[in-house]
Amino acid sequence: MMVNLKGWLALVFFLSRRTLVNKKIFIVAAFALILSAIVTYFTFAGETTPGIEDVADLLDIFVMTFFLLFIPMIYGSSILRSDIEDNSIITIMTSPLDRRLIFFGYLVSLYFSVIVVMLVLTSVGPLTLFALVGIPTGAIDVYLKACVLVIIGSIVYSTLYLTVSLITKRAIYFGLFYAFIWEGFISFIPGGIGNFTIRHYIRSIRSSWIEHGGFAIYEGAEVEFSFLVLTTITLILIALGTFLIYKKEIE
Amino acid sequence: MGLIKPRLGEIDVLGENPWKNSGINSKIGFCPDYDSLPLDSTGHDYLKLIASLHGVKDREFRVSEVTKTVEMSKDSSRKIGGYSKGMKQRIKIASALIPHPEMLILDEPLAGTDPLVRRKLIELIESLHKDSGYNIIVSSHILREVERMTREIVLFYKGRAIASGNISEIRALINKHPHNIVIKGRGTKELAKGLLDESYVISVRLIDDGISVEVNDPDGFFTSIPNILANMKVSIDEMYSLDDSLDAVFEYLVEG
Repeated sequence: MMVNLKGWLALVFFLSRRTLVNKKIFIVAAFALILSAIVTYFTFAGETTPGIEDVADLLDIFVMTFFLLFIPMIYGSSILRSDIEDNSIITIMTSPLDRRLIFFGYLVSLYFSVIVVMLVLTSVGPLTLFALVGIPTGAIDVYLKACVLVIIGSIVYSTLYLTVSLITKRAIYFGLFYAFIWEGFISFIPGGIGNFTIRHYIRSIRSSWIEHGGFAIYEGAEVEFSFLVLTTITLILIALGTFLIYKKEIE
Repeated sequence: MGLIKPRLGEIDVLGENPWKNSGINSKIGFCPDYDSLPLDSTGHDYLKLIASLHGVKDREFRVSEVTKTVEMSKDSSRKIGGYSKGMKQRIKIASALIPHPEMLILDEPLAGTDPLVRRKLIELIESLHKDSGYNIIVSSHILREVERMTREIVLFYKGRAIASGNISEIRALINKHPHNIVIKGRGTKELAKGLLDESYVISVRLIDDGISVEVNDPDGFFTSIPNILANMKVSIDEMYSLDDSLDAVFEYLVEG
């Protein structure tokens, strides 16, 4: 396999810059503003001063339940697929970089872009709250653990959507099905179906790590097992994506 | 380029099988036919990215060298989004030159360009072969363009080579048939009047946004049209022959 590290890094830098600096960034900025406004409203309209439980709930509701599902979906389903559709990937595919390295280039730039966006969105609410009422005891710990969870979730979900985008042109529809129907509806049917979702294992880790907020009482899997499952899923998806791009014909 | 797996037969490029062989791409310079350039990058930055992907050592020097070759030194610091079609074609050709390739593959290098830009690009491609010594394969569905660059062609139809050899012999067959050429733009009505005086024009028909000209000597038409346009000060947006597609050629050659 031809390894051209400088070329690979140049590809990662180019893709990350292109992913982060475009129109989608305005959507992210709008979300951040909305979050900030909501926090400000509850801070001054509430009867009691928000505390650590509110910080945990805020992160659960907006970040874990909403953004973590949708931001990787939006970026992951388009970063590689749109290049295949408009043929711009040919410029990259006709370079001497091995195709597997090209896939890793897309993967790493996707991780970087999604993590940056997710960390911004994770930070807006707590930082607004801290600025308005000060830092509740233990809130920094909750915030930092939430950041780590967001990074883990971003990696798993991004890998899922990037790999699916190599299988189908409509990866976004798969994403919507997965987010709304599978994780949002079917997983709540009694009988353990919920165990077959990424969210289940992320919440399991969350409930073990953060003992505040509504999700702290979530009865999930052991932390070690959850990590093992998420790592396995990610590695299988990476292997599948690498295999698919290696075999893929670009017409 | 190893982008499509062969369904039938075998192909060797520079003695190697290109499928799953990315290493061979360092020996080939490829200019694709579509516009997929990053519009928010400058030409210079784009070429530096290509140089990095190809592992070129002195990137700045090589980028400045190829921009000079394609006469884009002045404009390479501008964003690609502001380039004309001809400038984009030049940057794409420059990107193909970046890795010091043994072979250049130019896919429809003149597509969508006006006659003056075409002439300049053809001169550039000729110079790349004659002065810089590049081996060049040009893919085009406009035989006339190819004829101005080379005498030897291979004609493909639906993935199969249906004719190869000297272009004059193939063109002679095609030229027996009248050609219909569509011209769109401003002032085409005046152009129609002027064209009727030319000996090679059989008829001129007004169509939406332009005219359709039937000619019995396509060579004569395409040679003289730049001067006619310049003299009449007509600005055209688009010009293409309805009979230059491979389908038409196939009909001429195979179906009679």
